[in-house]
Amino acid sequence: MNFDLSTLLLFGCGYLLVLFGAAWLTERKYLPERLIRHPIVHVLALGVFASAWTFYGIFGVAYQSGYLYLISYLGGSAAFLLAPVVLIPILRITRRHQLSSLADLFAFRFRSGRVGTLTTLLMLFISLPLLSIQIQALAASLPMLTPHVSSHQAALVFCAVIALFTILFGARHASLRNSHNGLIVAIATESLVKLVALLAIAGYAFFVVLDGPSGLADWLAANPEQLQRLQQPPADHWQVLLLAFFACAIVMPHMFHVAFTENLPTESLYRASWGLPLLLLLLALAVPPILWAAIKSDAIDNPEYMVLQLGQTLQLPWMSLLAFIGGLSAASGIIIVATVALASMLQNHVVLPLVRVPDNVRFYAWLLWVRRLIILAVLLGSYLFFHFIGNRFALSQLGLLAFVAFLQFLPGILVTLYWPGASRNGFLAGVGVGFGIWALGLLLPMMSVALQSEPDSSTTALSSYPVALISLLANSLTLVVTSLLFPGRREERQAAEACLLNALPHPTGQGIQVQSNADFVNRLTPRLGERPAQREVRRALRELQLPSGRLAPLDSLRLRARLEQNLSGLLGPVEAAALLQPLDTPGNNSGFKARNVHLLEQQLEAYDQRLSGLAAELDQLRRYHRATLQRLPIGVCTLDAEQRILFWNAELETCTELSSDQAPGLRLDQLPSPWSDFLARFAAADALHQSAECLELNGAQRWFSLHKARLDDTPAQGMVLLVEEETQHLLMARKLAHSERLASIGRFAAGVAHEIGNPVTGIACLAQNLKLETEQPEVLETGDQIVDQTRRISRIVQSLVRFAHTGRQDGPGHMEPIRLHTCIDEAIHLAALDRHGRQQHFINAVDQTLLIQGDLQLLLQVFVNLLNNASDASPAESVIRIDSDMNEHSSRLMITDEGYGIPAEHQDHLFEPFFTTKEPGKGTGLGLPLVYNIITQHYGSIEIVSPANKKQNNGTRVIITLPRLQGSALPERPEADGEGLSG
Amino acid sequence: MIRQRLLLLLTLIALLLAPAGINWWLFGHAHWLTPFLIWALLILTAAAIEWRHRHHEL
Repeated sequence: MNFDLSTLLLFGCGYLLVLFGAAWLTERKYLPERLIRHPIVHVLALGVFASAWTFYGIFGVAYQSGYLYLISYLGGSAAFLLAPVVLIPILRITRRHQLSSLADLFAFRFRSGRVGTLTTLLMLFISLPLLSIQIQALAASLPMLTPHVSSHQAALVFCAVIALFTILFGARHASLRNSHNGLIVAIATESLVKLVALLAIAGYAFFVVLDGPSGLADWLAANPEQLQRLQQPPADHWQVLLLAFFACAIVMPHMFHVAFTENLPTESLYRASWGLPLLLLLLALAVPPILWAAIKSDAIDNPEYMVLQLGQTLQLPWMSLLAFIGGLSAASGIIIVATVALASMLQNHVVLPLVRVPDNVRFYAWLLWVRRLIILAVLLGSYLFFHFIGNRFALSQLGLLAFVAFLQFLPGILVTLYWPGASRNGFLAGVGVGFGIWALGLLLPMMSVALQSEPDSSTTALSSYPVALISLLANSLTLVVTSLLFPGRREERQAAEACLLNALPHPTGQGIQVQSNADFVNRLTPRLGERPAQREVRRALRELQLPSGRLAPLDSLRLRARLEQNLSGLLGPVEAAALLQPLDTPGNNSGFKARNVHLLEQQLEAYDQRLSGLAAELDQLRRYHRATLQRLPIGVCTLDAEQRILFWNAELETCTELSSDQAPGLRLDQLPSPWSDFLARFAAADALHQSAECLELNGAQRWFSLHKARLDDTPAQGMVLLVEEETQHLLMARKLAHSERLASIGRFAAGVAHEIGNPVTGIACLAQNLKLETEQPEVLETGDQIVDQTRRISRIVQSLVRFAHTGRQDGPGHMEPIRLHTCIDEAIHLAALDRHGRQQHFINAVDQTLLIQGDLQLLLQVFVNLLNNASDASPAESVIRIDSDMNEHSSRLMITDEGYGIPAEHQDHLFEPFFTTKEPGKGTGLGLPLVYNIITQHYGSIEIVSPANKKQNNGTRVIITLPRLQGSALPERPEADGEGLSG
Repeated sequence: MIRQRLLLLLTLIALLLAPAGINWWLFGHAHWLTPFLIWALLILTAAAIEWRHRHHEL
């Protein structure tokens, strides 16, 4: 059965257009993000593992070696079933250090550009047979369907279309770590197509050709040799192939690219730990039914293409087309991804070390075009390999050659994750020996056979198992022995520790000679150009959330590390490290460095979820201690031996306004003023304690005392400083001392008053007697004056005595319900009795129902004092108004005058004893303190607002708040007698 | 890390030093579906472990 060329072209190009469309829709964001980032898409994309060899060649293996064909699926499945111990750690390393290929990983681990270059060249060399298989699969399948096209023509067109797709969708970003979502969706579509195609053909073979389960059982019973052939063990050492495919699932360029470079979420890789084995199981399960259907239908002229021949033999065009499309999808997927991956490796490890970026070019565009040219070159090389060598071999032969070669990278992967003692020399020697044996045992015999007119495939296949085993053992042994004999250098050991499974990157202890981000720009400009250099530095600053400009020492190191990671994704790890290395200064690696502690803390914070067992418990303990120190209500700061800050807690952040991100790494003398001098002076002194010292912060005076303890028995060898704020304590102490002083004055005044009272009474009596004993008007007038002066003295003395008494703690003597309106009336009456007369109008607007609990005599003193003050400060004929309001629990009384008010500078001193603004002799300065004491004793408060009338800027309002007495029953009481009020 | 090293070591031992097990698995002359069923069982185990990891540790 032959197809028209146009039909095949229609279906082939239609399928490729679907791929282009899927990639285009994804890149244009027409497909929902949820679908693009779904783990199923990623699992399907990882299905690129199943290449044309798996789609076509696997049937040849199954026909010849039975269940041995399962080895390729099982090896790949094993790698993913062990994802948590192999793939996930590699993903974390590649993500943390922005590594985009296996060559990058090895170059980073062994700190050697030579390792990267060797890995790249070997990878290219052994990938050519693999890519050739894909081209060959299509080139061989197309002529089976139509005689109008030759295999070479088909291969050429196929390569051209794939090159176009790869350039369009596989080289879109300059940075190699950027995701190509379009590419991933297209590859996932391809995997889905080949899975559906194979399952559909297998379903038809099983249910129609073999008549379902019972038909198959009957057929197998009638042909027992078919089942025996499937279950016949092959030659010895075939198990090593399991390791080969295990390695292939990790190291093949297309697998490494999809699994690690495309920035898949970690969750997707966890899902793939069972998702990909399930996909491979379904693909593998389709093989026996198709194989037996092909045998039953006698469609085994070329066993490697029996899936295609089955449709042809059964005269089923849909089956032939489905097989063709499935094979096309399997072949195109791997070519596209492998070419992209090889191009990035060649760019980083072959082109960039040799070619200098020309001046006056746009750096990122230049990188992209370099990579596109490399893609073209790789595809051309693959085609040439197929044209001159590949087409002379069966798919399984070429596949085996490539897979055994990929196995040689497995020891390198394992030591990267598990053995920090492995060295660069060990790796190079191991790979050299392994590939040497591979070349001698497999490659050269195949090449010599290729020169013969009739290649013999069976010899090569049988000899490949021992060669694979010997090369792997020799590789591993050489790596171990050479590493032990020639251990790695310091930087190699540091990289090894960074790559260890679940290991925290150890701070290097090196210094850096930069002051600001401009130094980084200057360093990068000669290599990248000015604008790309600025862009990379800005990007790193943004990612670290650092401000532009001058950098703290610790921030410089963080920026350097981030820049190296980002540039690693652009130029490769070796080039990135070499570019920034001149900025480094050798550091003293001994001791407990501030930056080391801070970096370690940061890494531990990011590492939280991955710690387990004792490490996790210790980390919990660390977090607990850290939180304790962080939240102490006292400033804590620890210093290393060089007086650089290791720890800076929240209280110090509040006091100094310097955050705990900024402070670590700074020396004390680099702190902002006045803290630098304050703390550095104390740290340098011998004293362990310093009493409170005043600092002026933001215009306010604050007092801090300091304490310190030396940490000689800890790794830090530094000290811990405690900064305790004493401002509140000092202010309280001052107030207390002031109160004590006032109390002393009160007691003294009471004593003086008592002592003065008696002689004054005597003088008054004598003056009265004098008036009785003479008629002389001058003497009588003098007597009156003496009496007046003694009254004045008595008034002052009584005020002093009352003040002294009201200051006592025992409070008012007789508490009773008082109607405030009546009390105010009485106070107004008493105030009006002043001998000079009061010329103001008093208005009592207090609510008549308002009751309080209090001592009437004391409250009358309060109101008379306040009314007298208001009257003294008010002009004649003005109004003094007494208002009230209340709520459920308290009552408020407001005495408002229209006087000249109280100057602002006096308002803070109104309640201080002996403070008065009245003329000498008119005021004692004890009235308002007396009022204050009485109101306080009644559990109330007093407030003075001046000016009361803000528009006219005059008047004073005294607001008294007192607890309200609930209830209305008030016994009638006689009017106040006014005793002792006017003095 | 020690746990993971042991796991990998055991796997390598299973692959290299116990070829008889794989031999039995693939060429044990049982029903032709047996290798696939064992494989499916391994996948189920891995899926259960992954599900547990996702729901209890993440």
